[in-house]
Amino acid sequence: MCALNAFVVADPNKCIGCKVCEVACAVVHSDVPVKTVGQMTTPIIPRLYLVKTAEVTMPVQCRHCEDAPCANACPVGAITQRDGIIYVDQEACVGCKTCMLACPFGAMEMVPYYRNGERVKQLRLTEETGEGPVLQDAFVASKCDRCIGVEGGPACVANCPKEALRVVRPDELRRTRNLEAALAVLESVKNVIG
Amino acid sequence: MKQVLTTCPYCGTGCTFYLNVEDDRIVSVTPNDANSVNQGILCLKGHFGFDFVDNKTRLTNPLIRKNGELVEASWDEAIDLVASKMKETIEQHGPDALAAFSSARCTNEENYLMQKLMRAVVGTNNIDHCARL
Amino acid sequence: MSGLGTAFGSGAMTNTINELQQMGPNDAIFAIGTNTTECHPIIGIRMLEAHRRGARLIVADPRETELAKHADVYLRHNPGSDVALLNAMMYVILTEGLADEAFIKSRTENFEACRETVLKYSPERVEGITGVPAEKVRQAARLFATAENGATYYTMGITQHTSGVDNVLSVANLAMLTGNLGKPRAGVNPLRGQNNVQGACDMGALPNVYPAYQPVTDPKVREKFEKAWGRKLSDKVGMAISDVLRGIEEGKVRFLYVFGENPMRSDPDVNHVRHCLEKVEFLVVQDIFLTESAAMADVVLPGTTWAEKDGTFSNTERRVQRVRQAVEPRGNARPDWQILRDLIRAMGYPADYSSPEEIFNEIRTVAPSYAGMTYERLEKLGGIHWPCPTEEHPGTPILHVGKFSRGLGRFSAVDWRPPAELPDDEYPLVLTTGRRTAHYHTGTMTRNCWGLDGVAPEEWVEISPEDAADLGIAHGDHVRLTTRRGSVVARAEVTDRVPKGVTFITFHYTESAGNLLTNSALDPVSKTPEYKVCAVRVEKVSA
Repeated sequence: MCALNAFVVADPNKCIGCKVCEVACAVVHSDVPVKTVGQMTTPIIPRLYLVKTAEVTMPVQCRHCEDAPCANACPVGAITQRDGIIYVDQEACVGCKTCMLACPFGAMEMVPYYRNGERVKQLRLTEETGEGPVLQDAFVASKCDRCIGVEGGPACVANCPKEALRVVRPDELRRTRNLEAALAVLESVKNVIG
Repeated sequence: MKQVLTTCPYCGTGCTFYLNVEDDRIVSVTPNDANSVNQGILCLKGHFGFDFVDNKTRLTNPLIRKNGELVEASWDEAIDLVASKMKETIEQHGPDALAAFSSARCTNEENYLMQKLMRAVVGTNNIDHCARL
Repeated sequence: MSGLGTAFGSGAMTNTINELQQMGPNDAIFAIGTNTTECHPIIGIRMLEAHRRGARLIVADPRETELAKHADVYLRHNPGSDVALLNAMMYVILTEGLADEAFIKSRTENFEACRETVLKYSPERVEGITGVPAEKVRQAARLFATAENGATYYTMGITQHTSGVDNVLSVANLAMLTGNLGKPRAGVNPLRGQNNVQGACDMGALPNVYPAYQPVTDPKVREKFEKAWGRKLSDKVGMAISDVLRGIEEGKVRFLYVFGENPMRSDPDVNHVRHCLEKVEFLVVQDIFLTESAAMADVVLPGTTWAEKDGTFSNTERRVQRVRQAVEPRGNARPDWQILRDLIRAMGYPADYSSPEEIFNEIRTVAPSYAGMTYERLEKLGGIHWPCPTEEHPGTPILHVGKFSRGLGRFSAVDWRPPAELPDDEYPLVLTTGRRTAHYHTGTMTRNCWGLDGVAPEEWVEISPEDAADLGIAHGDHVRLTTRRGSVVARAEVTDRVPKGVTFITFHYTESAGNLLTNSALDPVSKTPEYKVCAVRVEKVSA
């Protein structure tokens, strides 16, 4: 694979902060496949995060960096490049949060780990309670996987009512920008010649 | 899969969409493109706001308070009890001792019946709803 | 509604939503007291699209909403200062010769009285009331008045005040002053917050009017309905919700039927509502969930959701549209029209409707504005805007073209009055209320939706960074809000969205019910409670 990694990005001028993307993302990534959000029994865990402040409103998600700092930082090699995305192997993740520190976008989140709709426990780590030692809940790294394998592409893009989200393919982006720049030159030359 | 065109039950914008139904369950929503306010788009509630229909805590039987507790009852029992209480109140205190709050969530037809019940059947104009709220 | 009725003769939105899609550089959008992108997202999106095409966007709101961020001019006025702000805008328009003299002359009356009052409100003079710099008011007024078409949009930020009717009258004044009625891309547009609040009003679920706003006090109208319904009818205006609650306290109201509402969350001063619902002799609640109100009932009747029944809704722009059954009623729940029909029958009055369409056809015979609509036509046209008097009539997307419903548009002289409850030493901040995007009203529906509740599972009260610092509150802390009526605990969102001195809470959450706090003081005419302003004290709760 020689193409650069594609990624999803939002336009803050269009986003109204309605959270359709967050729910759509959570549904498509439900641990147990569901047709509708109402069939989910696990919490809504989106992989993109709406920023909503007085200055700016837009969801932020993974850029699938070429030299991914999260992958470089992961001490157990749980983060790798696969099929044009940066991928987290949640089985291998130890929850050390180094990737959270490394990611400049805050795209990495530690989330409760579910398997077949059940909360996964740590293998050995226990906490002392009044009723003896209890296995701790597992937390693993989670982030955008660009909905690889999902029909119709990323669910956030497909469901946004404002078309504020799009998939950016870097090579196409360069060609489009080149064309725009060329047309802009043409326009300004026209003006010069009058 | 069955597709049923209907109007959104949330805000007053009146977006229309298709409810996609499988085995008598709504599985998803497709925004309506043609002849609509929303023209192919929907917000969060329009897209994902339908599963309250099958929420396990829905009321599925009439309830009557007996000895301080709400207990399940038949429709006949419930309707008869409401009707007799209405009649009793009208007889003892007059029609203006009854009042109803109608519903801005329900249909025109239902609101019409509610006000007709109060005005024509009970005989009072004590009917309002939460337009101001 | 009372306000627009007085000014124009009809209380409904004058124009349509889709006109926003034709708006461009010569048009202006004035949004006051509406958080459109959160509460009416599709309309909010259309506004922002229009703005991108060049339409001018003026936003007035104490909270810096999403819409405000995009505005050409953003007026952050103090809660409850709307009349002063609007009068100041009109002052600028009048004194700078920007008024539409021809429109005022040919289409309106009582302009002089309005003019006289407005001229007391120079933007400089009211700065102390509104908190808005005079120059910004001037900019906004010019931007709006010099546009070819200007459309005003508002919601509860205008109406839910003890001066709600005055606020609406001022909005109507501004629209008439600039000639923005009876034409496309203009108008006065109250956006309705609930799917069928327009329809409930149209159907006469109001104490003073029969279907289609025909007054119960008009003998001719009453005679018509007596004939149609075959019963003698009361000539006395009925009780509004607030009157009913008082009536219960005074022992006048003994039987209350609550249909598809949850006054225990939606009404102001919930502790008072609880007291009333406990006191009433017999309480019937018809709903889809065992709401806080239903739990107090003597009889609970399980109705159905919109997906389990047929019928029609009338949206905010008076467009009547079909609701179609998609799934079977759950359990033994019944479509609400059947429950009401059976009850009417049990009361010994004839009711043999076999479908909502039969009921609709009866409505058409008594409500002239619905007379020309049939289910078949609604199907074919995808909805019809009332008034639609005959089956040949295409419907009326824009009201007051050429002539107002009442004949001439009526200006009003409106003076600013302060809100009923202002901050003091004991309750030093202003509390205002509203909705959030994921939820709706009292949350009966949305909080029972996995995805919607999943993205917004708890209340976050908005507080300004300045106030938070003063009170030692950090983002995410639990805080207690206390007013003269009650107290709730919620998380604190420290944000610039609210100005110093103002806090914001919703009324979606049972566990932090905003309406435990709100003031039940009413507008004297419309009887709308003042949800948007009360005095509050905020304290950090130690974990």
